[in-house]
Amino acid sequence: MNKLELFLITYNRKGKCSQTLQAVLGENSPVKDLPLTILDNCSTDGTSEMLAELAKKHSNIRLIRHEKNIGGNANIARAFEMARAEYVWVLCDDDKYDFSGWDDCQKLLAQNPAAVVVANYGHPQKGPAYLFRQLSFVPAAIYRTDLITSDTLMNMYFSISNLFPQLAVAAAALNAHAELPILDKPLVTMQLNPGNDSYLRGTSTKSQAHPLMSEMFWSLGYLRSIQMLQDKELQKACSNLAWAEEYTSFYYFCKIWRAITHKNFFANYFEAIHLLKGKAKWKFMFIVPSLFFIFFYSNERGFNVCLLGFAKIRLWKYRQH
Amino acid sequence: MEIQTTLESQLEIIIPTYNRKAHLEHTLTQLTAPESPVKNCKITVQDNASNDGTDKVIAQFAAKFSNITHIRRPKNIGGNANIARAFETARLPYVWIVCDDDSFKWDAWGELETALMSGDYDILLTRKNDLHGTSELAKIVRQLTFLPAGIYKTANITSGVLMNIYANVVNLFPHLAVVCEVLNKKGTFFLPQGEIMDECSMDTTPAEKLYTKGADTYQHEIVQNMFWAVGFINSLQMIENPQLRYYILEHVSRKEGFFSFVMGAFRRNYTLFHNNALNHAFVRQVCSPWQRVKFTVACCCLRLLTLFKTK
Repeated sequence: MNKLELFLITYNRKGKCSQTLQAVLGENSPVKDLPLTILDNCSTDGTSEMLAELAKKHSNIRLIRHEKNIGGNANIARAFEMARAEYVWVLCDDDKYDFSGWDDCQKLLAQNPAAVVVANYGHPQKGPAYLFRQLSFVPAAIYRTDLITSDTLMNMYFSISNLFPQLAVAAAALNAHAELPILDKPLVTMQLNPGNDSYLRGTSTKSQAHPLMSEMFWSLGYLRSIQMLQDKELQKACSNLAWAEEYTSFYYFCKIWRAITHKNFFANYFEAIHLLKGKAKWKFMFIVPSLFFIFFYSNERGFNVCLLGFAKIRLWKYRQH
Repeated sequence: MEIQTTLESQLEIIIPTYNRKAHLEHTLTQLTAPESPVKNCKITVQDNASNDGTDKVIAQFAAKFSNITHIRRPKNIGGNANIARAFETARLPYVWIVCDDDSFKWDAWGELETALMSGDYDILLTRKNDLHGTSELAKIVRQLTFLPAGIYKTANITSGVLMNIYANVVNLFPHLAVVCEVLNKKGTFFLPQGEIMDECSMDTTPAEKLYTKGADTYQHEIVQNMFWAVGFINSLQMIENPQLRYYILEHVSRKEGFFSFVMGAFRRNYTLFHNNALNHAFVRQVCSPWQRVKFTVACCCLRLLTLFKTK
């Protein structure tokens, strides 16, 4: 029996999926003979036919097509649930692979670590908080399957609405204080930033989706996932890191903006305050309401002057007379 | 030639189970007894990796009756995920998901079978007696929080609903996703005159204990602090029309009003319940503004009550 098995989750991404499969099953790929299970979430754009065609050519492919779309996150959980070999690597259908570091990876796997981290764009070597954030990327690590106990699986199913079921396994590894070796040459890199909606792909209407899913966004889902870590200090470090990111980069600023304009603003605001630990909590508590005032009392012209919100009101009243 | 639909081609039964050997044996004996009208229906037992010998009991039944299928999971995926999986694997027009600790009486089966064969109803209720609540619709919704109280039409379980079921695993009631879908599209409910299930099930463990049954290590904070009232209110989020949601919340209690619902349902859990802020935030977003006020007042009262109780 092989030591490592691969899973690929896919839904309606014919082009990208076939690119991924070419990389994984290509002539030069070291993993081309490993057992590969493809979990097709009931694709409707011809992906299924393409996969069936491919499965005829390669004997190591096991093709499973769900009869209904169970959602991307449930599909990730299913992949981890079905893993039987000693190690499992779950792949997404839209990433870039480079197998030049495979030999190192194999050496590391021979030492039986809890997981080997095979992506490093998030600087996982900087500390456990960075590592945990890196592991929010599904194919970022090859996990030992004995981490996926019943409890981990349960946490995984509970996390489906938090957008990151894979973090249940990562949390299990970090909770066990396991040493996680990191590859110098990453095997996989993220190709593009997926949007918040990528998890909702396949629902017929957005309004039909559970508000827990449709109103969820990366930052909040990640904050919720941090709860699975047992170590309070690590939780604090993770939430501080998340906050540092949110605060400095413009993209995350936009995300806070989204949180403000959100339908569930108050619930999310109180929840985020509850979930953030340490300094980040106090910063969030004060900065978000002040942002709220800025946006509430401003338009394109008045944006600069109304830092406190009140100046704008005065201006508006003046114009009325 | 007229195609005769039979009950066997119309209804399937799925039993999710975990470590309840004696209860499950009782349930299966009743379902397969000679007087049982569903003895020829397809019965699937989904064993969540029990370790108390449940699998042997199921294997005995599966050897004896050809219509019983035994699915054993290598690992425990949690009771709610197991329910979600039952909805996913259902293929026949109607699915009845039965808990492993139920008792049945078949006197009133006739009307239910007629309704089943007609195929007109989206959800068929199996119980009548303990419908709590003050309005008919709220009674139905409250009743359906009990999983075997409904026989569901599988045509309603579309991909979108299935995704909702999986998302709602965290809220204790995955099946309310189907109920909310039926409410959203104004589907039909069948209310029986008699009832085919006994008033109480044998295992009286509270729902929130069953929720994490089999788990022993660290769980989500949200999961640790979940209890049935919060899970129920959170599940109602899936109802699109807010007026309908407020209406159900208002009438779901035995006495009139949302206030008494909170006072009744939250009372038992209030002292156990550590992170009030989190659950409160969730509940508030589901309620109407006036209900939010009632909720806050009720929570203050409960807090005062618990304060006096401990001293």
